[in-house]
Amino acid sequence: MTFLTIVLRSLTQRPVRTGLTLVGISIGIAAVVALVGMAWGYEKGITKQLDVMNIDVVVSNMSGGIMPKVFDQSLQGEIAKLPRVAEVTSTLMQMLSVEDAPIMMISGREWGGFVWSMLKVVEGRLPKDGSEKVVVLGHLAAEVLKKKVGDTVQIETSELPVVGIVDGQAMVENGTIFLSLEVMQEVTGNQGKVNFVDIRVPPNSPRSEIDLLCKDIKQIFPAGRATIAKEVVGTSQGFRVARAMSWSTAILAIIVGVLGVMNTMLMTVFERTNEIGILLAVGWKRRRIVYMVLCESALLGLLGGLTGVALGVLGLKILQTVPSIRGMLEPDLSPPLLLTSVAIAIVVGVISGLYPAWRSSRLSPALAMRS
Amino acid sequence: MKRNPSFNSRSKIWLRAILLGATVFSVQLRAEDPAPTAAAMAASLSARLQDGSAVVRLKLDVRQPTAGGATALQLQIKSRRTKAATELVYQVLWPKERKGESFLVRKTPGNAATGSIFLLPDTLRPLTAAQLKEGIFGSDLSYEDLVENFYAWEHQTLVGTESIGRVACQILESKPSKGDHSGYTSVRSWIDPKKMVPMRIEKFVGAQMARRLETTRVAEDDTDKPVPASLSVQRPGKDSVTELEGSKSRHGVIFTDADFTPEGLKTLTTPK
Repeated sequence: MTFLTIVLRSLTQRPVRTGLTLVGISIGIAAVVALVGMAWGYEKGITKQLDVMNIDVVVSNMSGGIMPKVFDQSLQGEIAKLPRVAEVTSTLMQMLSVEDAPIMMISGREWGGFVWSMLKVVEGRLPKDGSEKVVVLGHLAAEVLKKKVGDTVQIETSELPVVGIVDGQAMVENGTIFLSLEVMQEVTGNQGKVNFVDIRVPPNSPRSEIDLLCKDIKQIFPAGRATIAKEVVGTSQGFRVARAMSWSTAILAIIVGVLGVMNTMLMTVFERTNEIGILLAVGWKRRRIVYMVLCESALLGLLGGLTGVALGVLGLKILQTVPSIRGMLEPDLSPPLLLTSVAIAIVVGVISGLYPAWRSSRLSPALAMRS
Repeated sequence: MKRNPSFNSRSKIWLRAILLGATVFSVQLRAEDPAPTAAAMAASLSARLQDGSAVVRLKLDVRQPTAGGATALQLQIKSRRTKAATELVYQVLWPKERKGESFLVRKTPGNAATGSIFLLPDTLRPLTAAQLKEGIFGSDLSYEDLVENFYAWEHQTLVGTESIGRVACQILESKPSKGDHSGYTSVRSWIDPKKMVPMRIEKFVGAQMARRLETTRVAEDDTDKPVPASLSVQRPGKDSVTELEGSKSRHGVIFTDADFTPEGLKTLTTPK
């Protein structure tokens, strides 16, 4: 009988207990994959959106609410006058429940601003000018709203014809309803107001220059904040909270998994006191006994991790098909997350096995064989 | 199975230490967080309700599982809430065939609520006292529920504590006096004392619960104030469930008096 056979046999001897322990770890790891995958995916989506639009600096007045507060559009003109600014455009963005759909992003963009050029028309056309009272839909938004070119979309009190379907090249953009800033301000009763000013700096501007620009903006807009686009996700309080919440929930699930594995391993050690005594009596070193128990718990972790990753991925795929979520969720299921999850499971297994392993190594061969 | 006696005694010491730590911690928490009185809590909630002029966007879903029916409406609410009066205009934005349907309801302290309704294509009529007790747009929430500020009633008592979800709530019981003209004999609110948001409201007629409102989501409004953003309303013994999902609010909106007249119901515009 080899070392590996002994390890495997102890797990297969109690299939129900091993199975239930695996379920415990799997649920924990599935929670890690699902929650962290969603948080990372959302962060990546926003980063990609800003990348696609080629924005260098974002100016907003973020408060505790879901969207930044509105401010006067005249700020755009003041920012445009600052040195180190190549292009500047304004947006009024809101999250609104539209018709029968859940809350969606509605983006009113200054007509002629550089952010329009990133939208690729899939069907129909873009608005003719800034005053045309029409919308274009990201293709996911069109799917969620069940709209095609020629239909109308009700935003606030206005019914606006859909003139185009676009590919926004990022998940967030594809789930958005676009209209000109002028029309957006009119239909939402926010005349002269915006909640984002997007800035491009001259190509190859050094970081120090962009930092200086952010300081200049802070001086003319003390209530707001200028953030380097690449750092929007990292500095956003909302993202930090989402990240912390997803990890803390996942850690709780992992703790449950640790306790499950520890319980199983302790039971295994207690039940196999006699066997461990024999192994010690025939010359096995205590270190080898510790190694054996740790291998068993690590193996439990590995199997639980693999099952958990599969469960998590499956759960997210199912979630993506739920009508109220479709188009809003682009989880990050990249290899780093999946491998990290399996690694966490193995570490959880090893940690859970430490105490049982220590207990088993403390057994006296004579007493163990008598028990 | 024989246990190691020294291990057992060590465990007991640890357990005692943890329990002692937890007790000290919880005592310290309580000492730092004195509970407000019923009157103070009610006054604070009442003041929060009287938040001036605002426009709110809301989705209202009425589900009747047994009958298999479901209604979804997108609503625009214009509100003017002050100590002197509460005036509300609810207007249907969507679906298209009901766009423009609206009602006005008003209440001043010491008087019964009054209201008017505008039905398509062109019917404008006052709401009778009996109709004001009926559900708005066929929902489980009555017209009177919308304007009644039971936190301004004279009789307020804290009757206990209970956790809703993970939120430790204070239960505030409000009882109307004759001048309050309420259809209810008492209202119990489960208040999150940190956010000052009601997490559950139960309205009673005699000993019978007439309505239960559950807050399903709390969010900060445009003034950074925590508010119930999603609500679920049920009437015991009734099959239907009403869900209200708020998506936007804007305070400091300028209304004219004409906006809060029966004639004003015929005009559907986005307030500036």
